[in-house]
Amino acid sequence: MSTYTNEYAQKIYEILAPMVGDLMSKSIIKSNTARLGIKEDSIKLSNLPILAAEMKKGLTVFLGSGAAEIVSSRIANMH
Amino acid sequence: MKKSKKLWLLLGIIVFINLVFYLAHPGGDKVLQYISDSLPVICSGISVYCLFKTVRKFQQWDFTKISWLMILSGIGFYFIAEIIYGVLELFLQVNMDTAFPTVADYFWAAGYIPVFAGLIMMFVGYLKSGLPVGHFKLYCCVAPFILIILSLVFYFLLIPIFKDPESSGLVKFFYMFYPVGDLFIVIPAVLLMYITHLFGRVAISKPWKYLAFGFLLFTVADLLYSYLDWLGKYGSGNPIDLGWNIGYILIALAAVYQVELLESFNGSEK
Repeated sequence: MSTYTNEYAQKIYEILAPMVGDLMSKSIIKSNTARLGIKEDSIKLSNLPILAAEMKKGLTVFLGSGAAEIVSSRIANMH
Repeated sequence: MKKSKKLWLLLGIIVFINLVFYLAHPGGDKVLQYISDSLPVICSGISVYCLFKTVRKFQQWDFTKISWLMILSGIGFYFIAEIIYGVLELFLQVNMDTAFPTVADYFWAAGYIPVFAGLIMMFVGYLKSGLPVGHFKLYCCVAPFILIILSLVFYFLLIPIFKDPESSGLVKFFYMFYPVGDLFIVIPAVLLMYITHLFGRVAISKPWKYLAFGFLLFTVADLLYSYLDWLGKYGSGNPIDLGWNIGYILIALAAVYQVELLESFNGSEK
């Protein structure tokens, strides 16, 4: 079980890990934050909608747009 | 009991029936022929039913739903082919050892196209998703291995069939179509298997894992069938039938795991 110092990174991890596993969750968080030009430990509330939209793209391939949207909105509205 | 557990139980029963009839031959050759022709119809029918349920479960018409629809269409063609084959052999008393290709072969051949398209759509969708694709070095290591298998299939199967003076053009086409078609299916299936391996043992990757295993089993069974049939050594009750029957049930399991995954997001939709 991974622990992030950033509250949002930790919450995203907790949403993703049961579905995609530990390694993949960390990898998804890392690659998507890098795409935004930020580090995992500097995710802000304002980054969440964009991060959620990016993560939706990855989940759609397995879950379809409907279920991916559910996960994505959980990430976007976690505050 | 979960649907997936019921299907695992069914898989066990089918393997047991297969083995009992293929090894002990109770009831003689006629019963064996009935079992050999009816089990693939039952297994492919189960697969079609489960895939149909899966396609219906996706809420939106996106590429994910379409890729599963493609797999359903392909297995649907296989199901029709299995029925035709059974009817020809059991009820119309056609000698399937000499009658090749039959109408069933056209349906099997047609099924390859949507199956290949569905698997490629899944793989391309994954590449576009931005999710990790694993180590490039591993792809480089696997590529020569696939090339070796390709070379072996060409050298030991395709070239001898092509040079066979006793076979007509149409017969040669179908004997060669199956191994070539299988190679087109096995490459995306192996790639999907590698991707699912990256996820470990989690629910999200289970459908692809079983889909890949199912199509791999089909490929092995098809290659053995092409070789044995061309040598005239394939007949009812051949153990390689087990490969197709298990393959169909594994594909059905993939579909059921996908439904269970989607239901875990939307509990009301059962």
